[in-house]
Amino acid sequence: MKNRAWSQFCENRWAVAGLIILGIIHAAALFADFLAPYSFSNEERTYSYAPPSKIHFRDEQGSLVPPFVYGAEIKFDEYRRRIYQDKADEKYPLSFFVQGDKYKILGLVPTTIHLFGVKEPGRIYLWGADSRGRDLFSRLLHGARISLSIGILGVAISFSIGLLVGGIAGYYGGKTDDIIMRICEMFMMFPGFYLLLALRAVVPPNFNSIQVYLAIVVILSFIGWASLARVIRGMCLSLREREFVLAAKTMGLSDLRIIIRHILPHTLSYSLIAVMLSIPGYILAESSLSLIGLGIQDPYASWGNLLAEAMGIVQIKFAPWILLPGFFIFITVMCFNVVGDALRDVLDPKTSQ
Amino acid sequence: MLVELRGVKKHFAAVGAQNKVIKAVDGVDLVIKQGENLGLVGESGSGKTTLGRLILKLYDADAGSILFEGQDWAKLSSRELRPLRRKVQVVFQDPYNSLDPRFSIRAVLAETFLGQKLTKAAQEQRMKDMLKSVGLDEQALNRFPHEFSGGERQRIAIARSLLMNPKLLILDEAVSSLDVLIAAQIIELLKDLQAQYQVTYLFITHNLRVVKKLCQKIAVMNSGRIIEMAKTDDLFQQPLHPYTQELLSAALSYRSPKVETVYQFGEKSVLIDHGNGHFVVK
Repeated sequence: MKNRAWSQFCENRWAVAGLIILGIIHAAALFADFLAPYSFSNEERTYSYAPPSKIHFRDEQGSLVPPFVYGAEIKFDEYRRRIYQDKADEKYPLSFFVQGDKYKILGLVPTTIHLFGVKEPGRIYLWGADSRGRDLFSRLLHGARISLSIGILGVAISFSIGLLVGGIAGYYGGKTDDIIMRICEMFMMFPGFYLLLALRAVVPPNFNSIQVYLAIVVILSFIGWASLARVIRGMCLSLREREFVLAAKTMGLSDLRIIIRHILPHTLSYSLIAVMLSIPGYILAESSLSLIGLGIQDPYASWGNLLAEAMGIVQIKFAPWILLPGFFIFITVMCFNVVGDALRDVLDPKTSQ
Repeated sequence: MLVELRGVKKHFAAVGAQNKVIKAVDGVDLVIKQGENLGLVGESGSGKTTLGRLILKLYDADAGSILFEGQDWAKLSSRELRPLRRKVQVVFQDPYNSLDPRFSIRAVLAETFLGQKLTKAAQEQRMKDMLKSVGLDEQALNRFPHEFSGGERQRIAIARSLLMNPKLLILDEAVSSLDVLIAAQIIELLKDLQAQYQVTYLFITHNLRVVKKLCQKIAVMNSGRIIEMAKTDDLFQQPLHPYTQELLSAALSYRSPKVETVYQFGEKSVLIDHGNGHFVVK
């Protein structure tokens, strides 16, 4: 049955592509320190809005040489805007496994090795630089960590709550069910984004970045659990009449044990679909918060606050690469939705033939 | 006296109609004695399954009392009740639904040891012994419910129930979904197990022939009431109520009952003793 579902899933090309892309993005986020040439806060202000570095494979004579980048000569035009030009006499060869900013692999092993980079004072900007001369590529990778982990962590918390609350409401039914469901509806009644803003306003302004991060996770989970609880409750209402549940009850198992061991596992395929389809919501919510400056604060990067730089038309015109975070948000959300839809087609007995 | 029911009632709200109730069980007095198997017979909708679930305390009675070994479970808190529950176990009709499909047979059976202090080895041994007594191989432990036939699953369900060391085992249409041969085997098995495990059966069924082999006493139910109750032989030889007669002739001639008579009972209709423990409703 599992294999059938999997092969059916694999028939959906889009879903497989989506899954692969998600895999790549998540792996990149996990090893961001190593893959990125710089740390998220490594800045070089003279390189404000430096364009993406051109990597050259041929020298002036046209013969093939190891890849290198030119140093930059900075001039100003009449509007005091920076113009970057290659310095022909300054070449920085691109090398792999180079020394760079300190970090810890997966937060454990301290090291300074990065996948690629150039020797100081040369700088490599694969996808351009932001206003303070920080490498956008590096910041995107580091931002992916925060944006993606908020999605996963938020979903994990709100689903634990949703499953348990929905399970309890559905299993006991009657008054318990009524009370819990009315509370759920109260949460669902408020427009999500305004509730988000209101809750964010409650968080003290002197929180450090980790506390803000956690606060955002908690706030997002706080809003998200109700809708899941509702669906799980509906499923539990029918599951509790199943005879293996009744048998467990006559055996004197505790209610919580029955809910967790015998009822909730049967809602698993639905939960999996719901998880897939609700992660994008969390990513978008974090991005929106950060975009308007209420989320992750500089110098920490998230896709939302990276995109916040692209709020002015001037910046977009002269440094269009700062829109890249938006592109990544879009791709990730798309992939989660495509994969979630495919999962629903495969796992949900109501839609599958 | 193992179980004693006094004036037990259970009404359900009818779906879609307000102020209308379905009187699933409507004033039942019943006594189950230790070692005396009782067959509870009636057509579908007669309230026999509800009665079984009331005894199991899966439902709360609306009126009347159910005493188990002289104790009224309705007066206990759920904490006090839970350890007692193991004394009454059940085997359901649908063998495909009564075992959690996600659990291996080992996990299904191991759940019966919760709250008991038994070593893993002792548990394993008890599970194997029990599987043997219900006629299954010990290899079954590592398999999952969907790998078994209906009859085998019913054996597993019986094994699970008996591992709880119950005083009363309620068999709710336990052989109704099995074919005749398998059903007969299960009945034989139940007879064999009774002596070994000192358990009393409450056999709920619509099939009189099945009950005849296993039960010493039969109660016939209709419209939420017990309309006739007698020793098995007496009932088969001399059924007094017309509904019982109809049920019997249907059972013996392999045909469905002629008319689906709905019997109305007033508050005053009571069971009248016709001697020798033979009761009929007036």
